[in-house]
Amino acid sequence: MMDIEKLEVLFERSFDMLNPEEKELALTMVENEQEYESMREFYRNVESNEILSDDFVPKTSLKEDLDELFYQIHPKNKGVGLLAFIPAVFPQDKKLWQQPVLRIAAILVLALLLVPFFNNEQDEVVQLAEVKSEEKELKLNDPIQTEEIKESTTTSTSENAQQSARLPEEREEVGSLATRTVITDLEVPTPSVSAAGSPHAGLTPFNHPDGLYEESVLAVDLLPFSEKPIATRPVILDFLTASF
Amino acid sequence: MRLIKPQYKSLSDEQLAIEMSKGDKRAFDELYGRYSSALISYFVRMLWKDRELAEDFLHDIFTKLIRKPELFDPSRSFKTWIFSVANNMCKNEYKRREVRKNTVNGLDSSYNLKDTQRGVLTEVHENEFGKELERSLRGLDDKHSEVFVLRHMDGLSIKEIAEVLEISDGTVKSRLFYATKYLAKSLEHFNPVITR
Repeated sequence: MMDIEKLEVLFERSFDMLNPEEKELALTMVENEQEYESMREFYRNVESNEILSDDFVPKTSLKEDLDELFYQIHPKNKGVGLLAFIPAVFPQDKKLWQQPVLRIAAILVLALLLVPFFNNEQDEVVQLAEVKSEEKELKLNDPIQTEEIKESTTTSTSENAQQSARLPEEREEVGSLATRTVITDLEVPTPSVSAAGSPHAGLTPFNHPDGLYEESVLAVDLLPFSEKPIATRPVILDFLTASF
Repeated sequence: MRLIKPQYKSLSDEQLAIEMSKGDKRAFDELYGRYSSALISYFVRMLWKDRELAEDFLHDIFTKLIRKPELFDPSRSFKTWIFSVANNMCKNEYKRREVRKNTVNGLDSSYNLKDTQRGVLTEVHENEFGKELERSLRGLDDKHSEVFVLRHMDGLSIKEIAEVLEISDGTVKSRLFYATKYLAKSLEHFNPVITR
């Protein structure tokens, strides 16, 4: 069979440049070297000739006529504008369960069903935070309590230097008043000092909201020796050291 | 799932033909852009350089595509299908006129050179060669010349030509070889090596 494709590959080189196998193959299709070179030259002329493969351009009026015809055949698609998405969402060639709209709806339903299972804990935390902030806001908005806070703050800052020079009773009064106000306003829980067996029983609370208490020498002295704080009984530590 | 408009440039000819059959105007525009020039060039070459007739044929072939898109079988290549339709239209025209030979003489004025930088001698040589080739092609019978035109002027592969003409690959190769051999002998005087 005359395989022109093989011959076209051979035409890339002159007959002299072919190896013996290629020459043998070429001579099965052409009569001699002269015919090979003649066909090769013709092939090269055809391939390099731009005029032969030059494309013609049709008139624009021809396209306009075809456009008119197209709109006659498919009138519904002329100037569809905003409705152009409909064929994309409702393709006619797809089955019902393959319709994009149905798929989107299924995803939305799944999402809506799954949403209640997420973020439950976070919702509670958010609610607690909201309650606290509301309380603060409400109390800050209360003019009487705000004034009390302001008074106690100014008193504690401006008379800070004078406090050290005052008597314990006076400091106790000022401090307790400020503490009561702040504790009431901010609702900071303070440890109870009313336990009967506690070594701190009977101590006077110091004016600080986090529950530290001022040590009263007199109150400690009133306690029996076994209940006194270890700091006032260093002898006991000596006994403990000896046991080792 | 496709919610946005397709990228028509990236669609295959077959996909465009399907979209066009549904009334997608942009698909039609894209197909027309891809094939109008190639088809009118084919018609011009096959119909004795008659440009008016070639434009009529181009109009007819796209009219068929618009009116009866179901004629195209999407399982086939659109390119080979449209060229086979074009080829059949030409054959019908040959039958209608009965005689194809000796209808046009002289160089066609519609030749347009793309590259103006090329040498004048090259242009003259190519023009002369083209003119002689046209004459020689008329000396060939239709079945050989159409294979040659489809291969070397429309750039179709052996397989595509076989599909267009509905013949085997081997027949295409054989006809192409015969046409090349015949034309090479006819245009031997253009070969500087042989004429030396």
